[in-house]
Amino acid sequence: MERQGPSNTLNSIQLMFLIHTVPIGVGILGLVRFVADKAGHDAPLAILLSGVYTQAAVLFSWLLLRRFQTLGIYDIHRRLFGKWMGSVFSLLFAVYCLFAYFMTIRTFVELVNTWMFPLTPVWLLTLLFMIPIVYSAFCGIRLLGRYAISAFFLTAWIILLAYFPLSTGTLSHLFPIGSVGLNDLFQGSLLSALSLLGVELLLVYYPYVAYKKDVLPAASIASWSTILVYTVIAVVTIIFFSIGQLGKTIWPMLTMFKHVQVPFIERFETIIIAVWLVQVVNTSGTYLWAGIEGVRKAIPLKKGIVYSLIAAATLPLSQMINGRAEMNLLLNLLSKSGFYLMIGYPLLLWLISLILRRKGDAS
Amino acid sequence: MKRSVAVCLTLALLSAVVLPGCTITRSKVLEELGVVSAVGYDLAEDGGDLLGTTVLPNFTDTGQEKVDVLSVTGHTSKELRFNMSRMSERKLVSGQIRVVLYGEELSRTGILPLSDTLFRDSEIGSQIVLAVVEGRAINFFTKRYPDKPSIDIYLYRMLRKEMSERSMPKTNLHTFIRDVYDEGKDPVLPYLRLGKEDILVDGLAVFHDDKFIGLLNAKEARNLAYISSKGTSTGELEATLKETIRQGVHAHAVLMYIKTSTKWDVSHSGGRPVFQANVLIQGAVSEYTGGHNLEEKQEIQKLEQEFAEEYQQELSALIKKLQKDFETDQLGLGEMYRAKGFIKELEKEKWRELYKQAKIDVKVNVRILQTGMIH
Repeated sequence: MERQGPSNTLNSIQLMFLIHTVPIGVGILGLVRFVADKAGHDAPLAILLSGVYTQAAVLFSWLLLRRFQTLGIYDIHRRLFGKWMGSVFSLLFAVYCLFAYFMTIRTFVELVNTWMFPLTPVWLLTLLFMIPIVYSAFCGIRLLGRYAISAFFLTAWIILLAYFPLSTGTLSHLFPIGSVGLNDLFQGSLLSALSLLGVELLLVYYPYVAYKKDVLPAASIASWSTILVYTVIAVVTIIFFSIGQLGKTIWPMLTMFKHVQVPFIERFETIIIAVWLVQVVNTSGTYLWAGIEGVRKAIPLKKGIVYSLIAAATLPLSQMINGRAEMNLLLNLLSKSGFYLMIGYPLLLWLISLILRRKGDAS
Repeated sequence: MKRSVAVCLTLALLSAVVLPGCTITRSKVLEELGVVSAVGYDLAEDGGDLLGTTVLPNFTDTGQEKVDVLSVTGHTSKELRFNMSRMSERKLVSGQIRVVLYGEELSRTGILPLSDTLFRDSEIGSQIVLAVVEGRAINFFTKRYPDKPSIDIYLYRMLRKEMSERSMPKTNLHTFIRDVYDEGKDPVLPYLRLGKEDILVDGLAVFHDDKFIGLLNAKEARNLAYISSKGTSTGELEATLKETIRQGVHAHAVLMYIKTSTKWDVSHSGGRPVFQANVLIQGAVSEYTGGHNLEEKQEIQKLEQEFAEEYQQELSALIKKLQKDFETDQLGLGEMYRAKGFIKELEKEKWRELYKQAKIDVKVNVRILQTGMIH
């Protein structure tokens, strides 16, 4: 295990960008359709409402982490449940992270298969995408933090393209605002869970953060700005599509940008998919790093070995998933488990630590 | 990190950048591709099969462009493609489709299944132009048009031009699919007719869901474009004035450089929707055969008034035609009605009932901004 030194600490800006960009992975591409299933034309409102969940997640994580001072989730497990049980919990959390890593990469492979290379085998695409992902994860948190910043600026311009769908859209699709009722809004906001995942990794970053005081404001700003991006996308999507059409579109964001036509290039979505790899590497790489942190805290293995094992396992696993239906099932599982893990888990641990009167840094 | 590891990783990263270029398992050499540029669908003469026609520009060695037209029958559009590819030595790809034509008879049976597959195909752009044709689509492709570029470019440019000049509402694959799935709106598509040596854009095909049920003529098509979207156009509005030049001959006036905007007031009274359209038309007089002095404010106002009256009648007739004859909602009134919150969930059948009873009024205001170089 590496020591915490200046070579692997995160400053507050990097933390902010990490928390902002990691949730923006493949979820956003299909986000609005899921939410509109329940919330209809009020999808933007539902997404705005889901900011409460990420804020709650940030708050609970911060409460828990503050109590244990410099420890991350894996050490907290150990502190709370003892060596063996703690390792088991750490492994479970790591498995979740690796699952998220795997699903991100697999969803993106499916997307590339659908939109660009229908005949390229899954394993080949997986292998190619894995190279930068494993690279970034292997190099550790500091690289990931810097990478998040560049990923943000490399993809932020995409939002400007919203001009094109907006110019042919129907503004009245948005109205009457808030008419679907609280119940549907609430259910719709729950469906955005898949796109919110990523905030829970704060639990893993924490020991590496240089200025612990900044964590709460930085994480709050980051999570709300993620929500803001989603809301903007949702507004544009709802204006562009009719509800019936939206329900039939798997990746509304891409279909929307397919509409972009400038004199020197048609079919803009091809470029967007290529650029989107930057975001996917960011999300997937960070999850991989977080997962392997957990594995190595639980089982003392060499870093290279763990990475090789995980990488080797990814290929056959990704080849095993077939078709949209299976993907949906797994993504559902991911979003459900991730959602509880993000909000419920830190709260639960915090309460347990209160009851057991365990605190950090006695050692 | 150890140097060797770093070198390994760098190499790996490099290959990740370079390798995807080699992963395309089928080569796409232009000469070997049949790049489909236009597609037409008809009902086959024998029974319910489809008759598909595709246009493939053929690039010859001399650089001259020659067009191949293939046509086959089949059940689904992809089966058509399969059958078609057996007729060509080249591999058919659909990424460059620009125009899709539907035969009149086929359109009456509904074209959503056919346009749905276009939308599903990620290769096909969402801004391609769809149109309904008089008679059969195959005739449009097999006919030769002297002095015209290849048929696909000819049609695509012509229709895009018509739409950008607002001679008709802007339609493409995306808007068609959007409006078919929209509970509160019905789609339109351009309607084409064969001329002697060319093709005429002859108004609009009105759809009930995805079924073609009636026609609007060119003037009505333009009026629909003016009322349903905001914008400018160079198009002309003509009015016959009350003023007479000689015995029994009325004066005429023409407006050009028109700017229109429509404001809808939506309300609800006595169980039925009430719509009030306030249309504002601004323009310049480009032709005036009467004898009044157009520098005088009164005369201008009179002219404006007469334009407004005439145009108001035209618009009311158009709306009545849509509402009573076709019972379709091309203006998207259902969507406006929903957006105002009068109805919680818009269902198509329910809206159709309401729409039949709806009261729709139009009020036109014309403003003449200038009268050209003379008055």
